[in-house]
Amino acid sequence: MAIKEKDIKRLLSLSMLSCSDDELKRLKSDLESFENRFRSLDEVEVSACDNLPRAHESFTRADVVKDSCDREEILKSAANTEKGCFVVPRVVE
Amino acid sequence: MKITALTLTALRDGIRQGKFSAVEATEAAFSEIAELKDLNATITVDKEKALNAAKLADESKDFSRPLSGVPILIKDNICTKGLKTTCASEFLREFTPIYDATAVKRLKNAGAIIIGKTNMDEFGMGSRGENSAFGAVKNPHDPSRCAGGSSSGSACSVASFQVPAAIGTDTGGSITLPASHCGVVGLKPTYSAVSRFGLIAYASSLDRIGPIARSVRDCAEIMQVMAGRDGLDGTCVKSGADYLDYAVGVNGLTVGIPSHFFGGVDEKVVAAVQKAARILERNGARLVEMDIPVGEKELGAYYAISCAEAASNLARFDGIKFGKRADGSSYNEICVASRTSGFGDEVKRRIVFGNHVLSGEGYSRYYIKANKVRREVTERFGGIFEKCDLILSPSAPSVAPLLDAKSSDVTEGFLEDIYNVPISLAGLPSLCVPINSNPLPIGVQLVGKAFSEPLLFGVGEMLEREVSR
Repeated sequence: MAIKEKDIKRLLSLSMLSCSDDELKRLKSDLESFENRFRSLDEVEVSACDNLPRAHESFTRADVVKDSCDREEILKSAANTEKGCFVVPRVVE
Repeated sequence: MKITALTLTALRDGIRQGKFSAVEATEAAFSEIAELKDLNATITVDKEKALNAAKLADESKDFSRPLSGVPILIKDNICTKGLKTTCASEFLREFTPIYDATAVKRLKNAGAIIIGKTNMDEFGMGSRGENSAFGAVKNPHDPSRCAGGSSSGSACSVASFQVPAAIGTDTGGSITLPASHCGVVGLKPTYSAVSRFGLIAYASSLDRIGPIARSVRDCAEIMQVMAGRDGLDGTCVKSGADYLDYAVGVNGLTVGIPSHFFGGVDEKVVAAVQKAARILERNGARLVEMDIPVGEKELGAYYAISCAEAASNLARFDGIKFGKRADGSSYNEICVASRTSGFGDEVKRRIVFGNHVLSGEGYSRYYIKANKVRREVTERFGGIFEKCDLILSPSAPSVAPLLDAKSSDVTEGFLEDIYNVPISLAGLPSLCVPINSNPLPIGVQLVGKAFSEPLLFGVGEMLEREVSR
């Protein structure tokens, strides 16, 4: 599959990343290497029931409200907080 | 003998017998870390807190716990309360967790002194320990070479006698590969044997936390403490295994050996595997050739799944709630600028690969097929373990590569994981044991069924004894 510049831009947008024109060329070449390296997957035949990841044995916890981490302690990890909240630019006009 | 030259078990016993104190053991570790700073094995050390913990241990005069007074380093993608946890990323350079990972909590409860955090490939993405915002880790046997990755600092610090043991993590060979390159013992435990709570996720269905030490017994001692059911990790379901209850030896066991080696494997590695096979046979094992699922298809499946999961796991890094925050006039601008400046090249590349695999045509072309290959690999291993008790195989296709020797093709480096990723896909345990040490270390790995770690420890300890004769 030929990788086009617009494909890379779409993937960068999905990834919430940006890059310079030179980096974009490099990324295109890297993605082409990835495609070439993993051509062996093309030979794999799949049916409808293959659309599932491998399931691990697991359990679920009871949904019980209990004390957790301290709000102020959690907010210390953020660069910009105010009145117990994360500060972001206005999102609603 | 210097305190730092002792194994974990010998160090713990020495403290118990009053030969030296926990403070002396901790100070000795810090002294070696300072002396060997150029190897770049650690990112953060906390002398004050560690010495306080050691002092408390000495004052309590109670050394009955399994790791009482033993200084240990933790890979920097495992959360440690009040101690920076950076994942070797610019994004998390100043991040300090407010809780301990379950594995860390269990080590502390067992009396271990957590003295700092080890360098690594950023978020666990790499095979050479070079993808770090804090610089590459050097191999203690030859500083012009890499230590292997991604648990590069953990393997290096143990191999260079800075600490008796360190904790690593493994997604596609990140414990066994550096263990091989540095000449130490490393266990990639069965998937879900050790809780992942507090491990900053790279690929959740593959990530594991495991020990790196200078003896098989030391790895077993750490597993005894760290493993077991945890209510905070929904996949961590098993409890009750006794990792210290194993018989040393291989007599009567059937060992699968590779019927052929993958094209690029170094002849010195083949010779090391053959040497280990001869030792096993001499000690009573029956060797049978097996067609082990190792190849480009398995490698492709691993990278498709791990990059897809990485793209999803790292989507939460938006610069708002934690970590690096760049300027911007909208949420999107802040998020894009924070991620672009905070993540290193390899991490960005894998996120983009991951979104390629998960979106548009890539989903049917890669993701679904990768999951089918994963199931096939698991079934093939199931068939192999009907014919043998364990498998002997290379840990790495070569000795430690030279630093800065990367190919222009970024996927070329993926081949270093070729012997590890099938085991990761199948969720199996693997123990790397050093076989050769001159001029550079080479380890082999023993692979078993899920939760067969005690069997691997028994065979590994026998191998270790025979090699050191």
